Amino acid sequence: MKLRTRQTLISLAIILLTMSVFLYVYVGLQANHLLKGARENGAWQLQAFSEHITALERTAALEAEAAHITRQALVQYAFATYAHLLQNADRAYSLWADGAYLYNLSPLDPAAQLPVPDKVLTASRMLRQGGELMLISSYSLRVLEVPVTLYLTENISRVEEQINNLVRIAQAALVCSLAFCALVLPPLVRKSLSPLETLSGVADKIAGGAYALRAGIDTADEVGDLSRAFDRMAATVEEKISALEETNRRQEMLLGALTHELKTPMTAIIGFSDSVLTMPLTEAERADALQEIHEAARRTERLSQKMMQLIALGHEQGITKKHIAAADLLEQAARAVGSAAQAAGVHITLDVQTPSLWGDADLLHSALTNLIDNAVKASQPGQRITLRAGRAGGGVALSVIDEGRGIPAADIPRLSEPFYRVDKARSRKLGGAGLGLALCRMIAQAHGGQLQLDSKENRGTAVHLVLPGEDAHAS
Amino acid sequence: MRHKKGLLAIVMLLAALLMAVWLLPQMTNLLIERQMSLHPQVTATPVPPEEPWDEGL
Repeated sequence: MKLRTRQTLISLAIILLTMSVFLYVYVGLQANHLLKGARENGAWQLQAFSEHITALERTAALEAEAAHITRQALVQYAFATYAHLLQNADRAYSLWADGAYLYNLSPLDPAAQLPVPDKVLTASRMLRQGGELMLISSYSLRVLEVPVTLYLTENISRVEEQINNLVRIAQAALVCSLAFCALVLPPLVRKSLSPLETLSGVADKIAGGAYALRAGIDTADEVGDLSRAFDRMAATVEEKISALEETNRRQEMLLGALTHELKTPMTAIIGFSDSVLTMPLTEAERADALQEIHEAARRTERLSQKMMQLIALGHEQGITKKHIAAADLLEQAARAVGSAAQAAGVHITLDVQTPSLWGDADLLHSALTNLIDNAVKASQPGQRITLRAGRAGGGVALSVIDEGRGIPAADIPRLSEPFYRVDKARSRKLGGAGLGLALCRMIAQAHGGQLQLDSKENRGTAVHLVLPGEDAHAS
Repeated sequence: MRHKKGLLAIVMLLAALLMAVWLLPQMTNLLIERQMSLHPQVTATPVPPEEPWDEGL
């Protein structure tokens, strides 16, 4: 069952229940009131009647000389006159004394239907006679020291008719109000629930791949809250999916480039090993071939090491940060590439402007050796490479500045992509795989920092590894 | 199944409405019957004798 159908039916059921309770109580109270009113009216009429009789008796009693029988006849005559005047088709009076009717125009036998015991002033009884609702009321009094009972027999079917009219009105009100609610409620419920249908449609479309879609329901109620939460969730999902797609794309590129990069040393290894195995070589040629195989294998090993580091950083494995002495870090990095620099005739100088920094010593060492290695390869003999540790905003910048051939401006934005090289042939010849800067960028990002390149062709390159301070990490 | 439940609920609602409409006159009939079974009585209480008329006033 749909929510709007359920809501409508529940609302109708509540309305029906509430109206039923209200109408039942109202009709019940009104019916009781009418019936009680009929009884009280009967008693009141008889009481008024008795007061007339009593007054007449007193008048007759004043006539001291009048005989008792004369006074009784006078009272009886007066009763008959009043009763005759007051009676109509629905009302008849009776006078009962000494076990007999002195006067009776009632179609019923009121004394038999409502025998009145001693000391009972008024009494009444309802009964049904020929389909009509009848009310017999009695009133006891003493006339001329004789106990008598006045009876009033009333047809109160009009009261029953009033009650029935009330019932019909209540029934009509119940049916009409429910019919009205059944007509009005569905569109109202549908309108109030329409944002949920919108939300459901948007969810379906997002599930179908339209991640940029948003519900955009900005009402100030719970549905608006739900929509805003849904949109936030959709934004997060879109962001995560974009990140996953980007990661996937990069991994595919990485895998493709890796395969390509492995192909070159493998071709060399296979070619030279084939020569060693199948061709008659001199001892010197064999040594050269083995040297080539060795170099290719070493290149493959370096490649695999850097790939492992890249993958580890890509998976955001925990890095261990601590205070590092800047001078020690620069010295160790310079020492690590010292032999290569010496072989290339390049001088390395240190410029320590800040005593310490906050980061992972191994990763930063790796980043610096990669940057110095690149600088050495880009430099000419006799040129100088400066390693600098200086302040940068609230953090530290580790800079490797060379005086080499520089990088064309068009290549700078793509330099940190894996396997991207400005001069592929030369880079491969020098043992580069185009992973160094990508690794440095990822190390900088893992520290919450960034890698900045500043280069001019034939003037040199400055690469800055900008790291945030300890306070930024804490916050 | 969903439609069956909805249909059943509508039928139940209509049945409840009919029952409410049908039971209303039954309730008033019961009230009248109850009134017919009642015999309200008021017992007489002694009426104090009237003060004699003071001719001097």
